[in-house]
Amino acid sequence: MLSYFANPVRFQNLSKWMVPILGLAALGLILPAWIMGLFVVPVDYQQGEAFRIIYVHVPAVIVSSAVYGFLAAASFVSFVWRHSLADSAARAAAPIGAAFTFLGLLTGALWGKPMWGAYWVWDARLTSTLVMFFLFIGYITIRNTIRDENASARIGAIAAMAGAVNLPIIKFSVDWWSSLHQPASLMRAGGSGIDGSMLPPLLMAITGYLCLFGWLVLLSMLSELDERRARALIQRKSGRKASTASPQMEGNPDA
Amino acid sequence: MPEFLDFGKNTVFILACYSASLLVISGLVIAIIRRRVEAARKLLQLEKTQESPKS
Amino acid sequence: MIREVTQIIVRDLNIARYSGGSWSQGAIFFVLFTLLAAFALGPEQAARANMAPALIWLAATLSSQLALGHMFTGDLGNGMLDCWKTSNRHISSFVIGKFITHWALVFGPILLMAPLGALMLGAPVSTLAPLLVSLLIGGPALILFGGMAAALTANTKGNGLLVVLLSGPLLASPLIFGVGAVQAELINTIDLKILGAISLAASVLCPIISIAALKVHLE
Repeated sequence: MLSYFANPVRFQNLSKWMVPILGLAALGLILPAWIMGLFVVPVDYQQGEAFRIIYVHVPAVIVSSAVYGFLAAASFVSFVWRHSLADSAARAAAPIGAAFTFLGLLTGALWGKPMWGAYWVWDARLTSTLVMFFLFIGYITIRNTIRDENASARIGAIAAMAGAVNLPIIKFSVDWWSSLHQPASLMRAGGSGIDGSMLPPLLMAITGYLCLFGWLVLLSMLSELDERRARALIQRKSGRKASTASPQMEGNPDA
Repeated sequence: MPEFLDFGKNTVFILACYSASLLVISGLVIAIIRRRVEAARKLLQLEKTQESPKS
Repeated sequence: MIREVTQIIVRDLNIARYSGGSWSQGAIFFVLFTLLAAFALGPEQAARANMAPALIWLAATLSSQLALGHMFTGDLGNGMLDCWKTSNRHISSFVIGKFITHWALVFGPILLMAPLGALMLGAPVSTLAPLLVSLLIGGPALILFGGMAAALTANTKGNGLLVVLLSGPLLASPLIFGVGAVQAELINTIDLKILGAISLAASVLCPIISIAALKVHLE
């Protein structure tokens, strides 16, 4: 299965179909979900209008942890089988995951203020989401600082996997820590008594965010494939020029 | 403020959440699409200027 | 294997001896941090005394991370690690030796300075023993996480801040249980046990990851 999609040409043919489907699905799910969330869904009697934030907050948080899982899995495939496509998938996923995590944190803060009276509490869930945000940032920094393509891919994969192994440990520590220091009743937002008409837009929004993620990852991967091909063409051209001009030109002074 | 965008005392928070989400997501989408278009354009240009086709 | 580890330890200790004391920078940063923390907290004795264990742990965490940037860069840059590998020695013994020396050279001085720093911040004498025990047990985790980050970024020049950036999120766990262990002026045994578990888990995980990273850098 894996090796079937490892072929870049096959991947490109597949993505020719997937890109428009995912893009349209994302648009067709997120926009109606938001509109329903804002204008159609009845007011929650406990939380009032602030409940409407759930349709931008929960999808961002859920999908951002799914993205970290995706990043770790793609890193694993890229590290063990040295799949360049898996590596570009991991590389493409990281900024999107960081953006979703950021949105989850931001909307969480803006939801927290009317609900708990504070933008930020050092609650277990908030804190481990913040830690995950920094894991994304660390991964992106590694990929951008290591110039050598191969080393960047392998080191990035190792870092992503190390983060994935540590994430449960961090989650456990933070849970432990906040159960000692915080009253446990803070985080009961949404969970209780969801009205029947509130759920469908939420599910739509979550699926929509997932489609959006898939769409953006595919687009980024296609860009990277094109950029790699362009680089290879330039290299071949300059290599030919160099070999006809003088053999000494061939060595790259940066290497 | 138009009537339909009035959500009571928490209007500011709700609108801030939705607009921030819209802003960040559309920024992300625009950046990625621009990169895609740029990469495809550059590759096409390079392939055209390549004198001898791939053997 | 053990012979190779001791070779690395002896060599690194010799290098440290003739390096003009650059290994002590972590400890100096540690003392400076506590000094500045005291200024930041203001002259009120009681407030500082409450925060002293947390601040000492924070200072130990940050200073150990900052001192680890060069852990592998030198040996990777000057080809020592290449020689080590081509002479059929294990990279694992190199990494283990490195971790042991850096624990001794970076964390040892910090450990010596910790009681001084705690007293400067006005911590009661009764907290000193729990503080030292928790630092002794949690210290390996700090060095291991930082060393792992240093191995990942070993071929990047000026990777000091990068190390902190990468290991920072992972250091939440030792920090939580390290500070937790000191609180209430007696050793909180559950926190201490979990802290020990984190150190043990890190001592398995981090060397493996560091070895994998160094192998990539050697490719």
